Amino acid sequence: MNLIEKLLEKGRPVVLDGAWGTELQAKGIPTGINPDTWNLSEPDLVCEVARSYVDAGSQIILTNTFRANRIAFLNQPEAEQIEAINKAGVEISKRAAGDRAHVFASIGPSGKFLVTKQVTKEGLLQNFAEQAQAQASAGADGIVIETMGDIEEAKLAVQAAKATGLPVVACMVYDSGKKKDRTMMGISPTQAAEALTEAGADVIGANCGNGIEGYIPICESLSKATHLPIWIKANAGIPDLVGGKVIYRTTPEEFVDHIPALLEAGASFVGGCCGTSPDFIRAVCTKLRGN
Amino acid sequence: MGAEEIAKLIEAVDETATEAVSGALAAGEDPVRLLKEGVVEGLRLIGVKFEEEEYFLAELMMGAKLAERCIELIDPHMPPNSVTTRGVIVIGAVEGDLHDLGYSLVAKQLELAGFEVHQMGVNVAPMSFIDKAQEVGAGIIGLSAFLVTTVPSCRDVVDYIRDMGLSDTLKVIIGGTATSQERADEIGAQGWAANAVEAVSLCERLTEVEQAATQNL
Repeated sequence: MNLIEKLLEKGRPVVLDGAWGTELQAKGIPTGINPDTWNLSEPDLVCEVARSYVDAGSQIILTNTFRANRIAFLNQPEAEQIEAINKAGVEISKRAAGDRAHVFASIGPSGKFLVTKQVTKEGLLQNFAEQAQAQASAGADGIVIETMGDIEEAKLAVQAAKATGLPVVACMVYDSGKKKDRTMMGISPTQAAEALTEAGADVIGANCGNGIEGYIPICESLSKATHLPIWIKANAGIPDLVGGKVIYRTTPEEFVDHIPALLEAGASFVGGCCGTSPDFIRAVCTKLRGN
Repeated sequence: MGAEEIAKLIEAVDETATEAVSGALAAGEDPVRLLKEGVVEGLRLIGVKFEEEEYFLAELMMGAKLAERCIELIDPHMPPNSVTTRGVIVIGAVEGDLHDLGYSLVAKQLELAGFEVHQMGVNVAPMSFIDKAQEVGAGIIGLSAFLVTTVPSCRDVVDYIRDMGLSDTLKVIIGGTATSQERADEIGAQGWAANAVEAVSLCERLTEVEQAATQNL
């Protein structure tokens, strides 16, 4: 029995973590630096974010490694520390998790486009392989490919992550189209679920770009298109700037009101993305398990 | 095959557009007409479909690549001095913002629409935008902000331009997921564009206003 099967064995939904970026900002991370560099310079503050999610009840937490790939760090001195940043990210989350949660390492998009030949398939594969291997060697329990807009890039990331032998979750971001149910490149949930299942992912998911209510029909489409479990991490609505401060309008209470519908639509793993916090995760746990 | 058919091929992101352009040039079609009523019109039609959310980024980017290849074929046939720049634009992601997807796409569309575009990269300090604009004689600075936390950096650029007394000749436009028309108005920017296609229309409008004002002097 692999880890994913074990996690779902009891037939209950698995609670994930919430946002990292907005939590790190609250801890004072300066704008203009790649937040992943804090794994080396401010590991204790990163660990506080990780621990806050474990304390809130997350059964799986991610790592602060979303943009820790060589293409994202192009022309920056940190490019030579990719391996160290990824390893540190996994180690920090494992330290916070102890035996209370599993650690799935985060891999985000490269930030470059295949379609305009800014990058090649080989270059992307090598890029993700370097990141995934560093994460696996540091002891990650799984790998989450997230916020992908281009299905070709996502498939290459799955290929690189699968080579580590770890379970792989593959998530796209749906934020485009009239119904906000397409990726920026126009991929539908059905197309993504089919392609990522074929690519060898163990869990199919969606994150960011949409509030939780927007993810209910998307979850339904994903669920219909694959036999694999579904993973959803929605935003706390769309951010707004009020008096120089970033405001996410959805409250934890409003967020969890949609959890039953999300589960009904087929989600097995639920958590939050931008704007969500440990309070959201606590509210999700309460909703799912009672007090 | 004439300019109208080429526009339709580009609109459909049909790779045979390049063969059609070569054929039209060999048949003696007017290169200026092929460029304006064929390639540029085709791009405009892609833009309409993108704005109507019938097309996505994939079509927009592939269409831009296709148009570029067509322009490369037409360029050597253009009469001397027929290529005029519609305006000079400096563009980049503001200080604190590391996203390069959005602004580079806007830059490409502006270039294809005939603007001279200078890309500044990501995490650009406010004064660097202004220094570059003055160096290259730009009339517009395009600021990209994908994070709401970086909107204040857009305001800094607008404020510095005003404080330096450059507001009459240097306009600021903003774009990116953290921006809106309301936010542009709040910080005193001269325009906002929701996407690359709107950015082209906005720059065209601002440039025309500027040229009309100059002619009236």
